[in-house]
Amino acid sequence: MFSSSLLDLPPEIWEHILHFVPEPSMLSIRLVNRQLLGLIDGSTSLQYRLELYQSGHEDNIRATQPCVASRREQLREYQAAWSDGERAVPVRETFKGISGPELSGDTLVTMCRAKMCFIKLPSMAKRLPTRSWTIDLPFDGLSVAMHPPTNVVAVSEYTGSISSVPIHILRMDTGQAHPLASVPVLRHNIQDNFTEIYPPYLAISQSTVAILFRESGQADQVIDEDRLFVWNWRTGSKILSLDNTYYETITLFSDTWLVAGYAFRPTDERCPDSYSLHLMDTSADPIKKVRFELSVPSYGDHGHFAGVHSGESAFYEPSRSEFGPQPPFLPIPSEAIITARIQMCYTATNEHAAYCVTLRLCELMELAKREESFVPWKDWAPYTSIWEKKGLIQHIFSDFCVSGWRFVCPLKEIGPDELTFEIHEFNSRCGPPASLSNGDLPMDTEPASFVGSRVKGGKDVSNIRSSERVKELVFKWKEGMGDLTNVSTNVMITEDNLILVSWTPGIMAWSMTIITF
Amino acid sequence: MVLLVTSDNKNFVVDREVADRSVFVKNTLEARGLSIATPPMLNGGCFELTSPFLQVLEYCQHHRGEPLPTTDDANADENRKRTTDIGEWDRKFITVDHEMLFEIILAANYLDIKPLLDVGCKTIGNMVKGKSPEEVRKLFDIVNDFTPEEEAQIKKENEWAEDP
Repeated sequence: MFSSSLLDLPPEIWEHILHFVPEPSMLSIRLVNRQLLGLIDGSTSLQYRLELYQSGHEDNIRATQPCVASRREQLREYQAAWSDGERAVPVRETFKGISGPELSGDTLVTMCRAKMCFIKLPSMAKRLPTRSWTIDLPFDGLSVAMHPPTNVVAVSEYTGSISSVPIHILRMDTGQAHPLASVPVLRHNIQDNFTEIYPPYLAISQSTVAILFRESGQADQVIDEDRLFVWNWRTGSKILSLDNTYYETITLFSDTWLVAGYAFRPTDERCPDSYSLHLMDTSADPIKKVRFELSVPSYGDHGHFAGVHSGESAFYEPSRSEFGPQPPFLPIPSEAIITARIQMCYTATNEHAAYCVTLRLCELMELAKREESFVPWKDWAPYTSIWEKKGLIQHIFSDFCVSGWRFVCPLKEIGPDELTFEIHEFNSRCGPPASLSNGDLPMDTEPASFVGSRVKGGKDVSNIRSSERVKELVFKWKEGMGDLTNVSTNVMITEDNLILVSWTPGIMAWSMTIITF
Repeated sequence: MVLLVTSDNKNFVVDREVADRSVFVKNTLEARGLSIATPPMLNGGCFELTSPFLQVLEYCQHHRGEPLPTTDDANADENRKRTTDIGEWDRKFITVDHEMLFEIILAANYLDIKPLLDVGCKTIGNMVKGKSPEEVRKLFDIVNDFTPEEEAQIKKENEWAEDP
């Protein structure tokens, strides 16, 4: 007879045992003695588990996966991409003929012909990898907009003929017709003498879908008309129809609140409302509008109105269930006080080729809706910031993006084939306390009072303070990607990512690059 | 019925269904195409087999007729590892001293009875779960053979893993 210790079990059995032990205990066991340390450190699969644990990832073992060794290799590569001291570029995907993309929260959606591509953006702080999935549609799409809380996307179809603009209301997860849409395809018919449609601009909310597009054609003279429609996508009924709007951009704040921006130069005779925003309540009859004007800076005469962005989710309705019993349409009570965050941007170059960027933020605007008119709680509260940079600037991209407290503006310089992005952070009510570091940002979470209800009570806009340039990203244009002069770019910024979408003549393709902070 | 003989030459006559719980026995019997087999020489004689074998037989009799886990299914294998739950009967069954546990695990491994091997391994896993290194040493009567420097180094590595 001899006395056997459990430790005398063969190593392969101990390896098996340790698979039933959670990672923290596994770390403890490394400290017991040499034998167990060697066992854990010598096992590929146990090491993989510890590495997964350390990186905060989860392994999706249900998915078709290669063997542990190659999964471990993939994980290492991924972590190496993160740990690069410089800005890592973990994803660089090139799509041909994409449109969009549109961003909501951390989800990006883009159309690529008959494919609808969703990308969950990575997060370094939260240690989330990029995830993406594609849904095939039976038609080619042009534009796409989504509203994740309702699991809905609106996709405008490219028909090839200029007779109508069909808009499909689909489930975001499956691409099937959305069960709450009684009319799954909304359609706008085009007049005969129009020969061209510019890609429509879509926006969708819990119950409404808005489309802005331009028809052009040649009858006796060149006709160029903008049209704006708003439907209740649940019922299929049209709420709003406006012609010749000259709007350049639209945003749906809620089912009933729409913000539309003008983008015409002040000299444009057709449009006296240049550089202004319209805030519309589509539930009222007639539709009520409030106009906000943006004065044009005195410098520079090559300006761009860069658009308008809305703060997100302030108007999401209390019930967020996908297909739950929700009221089909939620008009705003007559005494409600509405809070919105509106941002608009103006960029300009002057003749000395320096550049100036003016960002105007209406960080918070509260409006009490009364019987007759909107009463602005505070006037348009512009926040202007001007940067100047020496050297020759060939072009300023006409896009910008604001997320929470971050602002990005891309610039293009003559010289080396480089794109420069400036990322600014400004202190504001919704921004983080200055002490918060990159690691623990509770970003883009609305203040607690926003969740699930409309906000009441006044908010002070006076504490918007100066901005600070925090980052300058220089993006090298790869060889063979064509002439930088003809590159057009859109930028988006989120808590963790800068998304660059550009048309690259060299490869005749749209490419999308995600740079993770 | 099949006849199984242990390494200490004890004979056991068991139902085929019970014997088939052991993939090893099952494969051996199938390979020989016999209903009665001279059993494999179970093990090289480093331990007495009779007493663990009785336990193993009890386990096989209790679980007779249950579907055998499919082999070579990596996903099922990994899913199996995710849960440390042990069934009521199995838990009582495996409540034995360390030495018997040791023997049962070895026998289950040798006879290729995966569910029993898992029960044994989970039991040991549960023993060490949440324990400090010193407690684990005490549990298995292990001597700490690290130098203080080595220990400090491993602690450092662990911290890195715990605080990504």
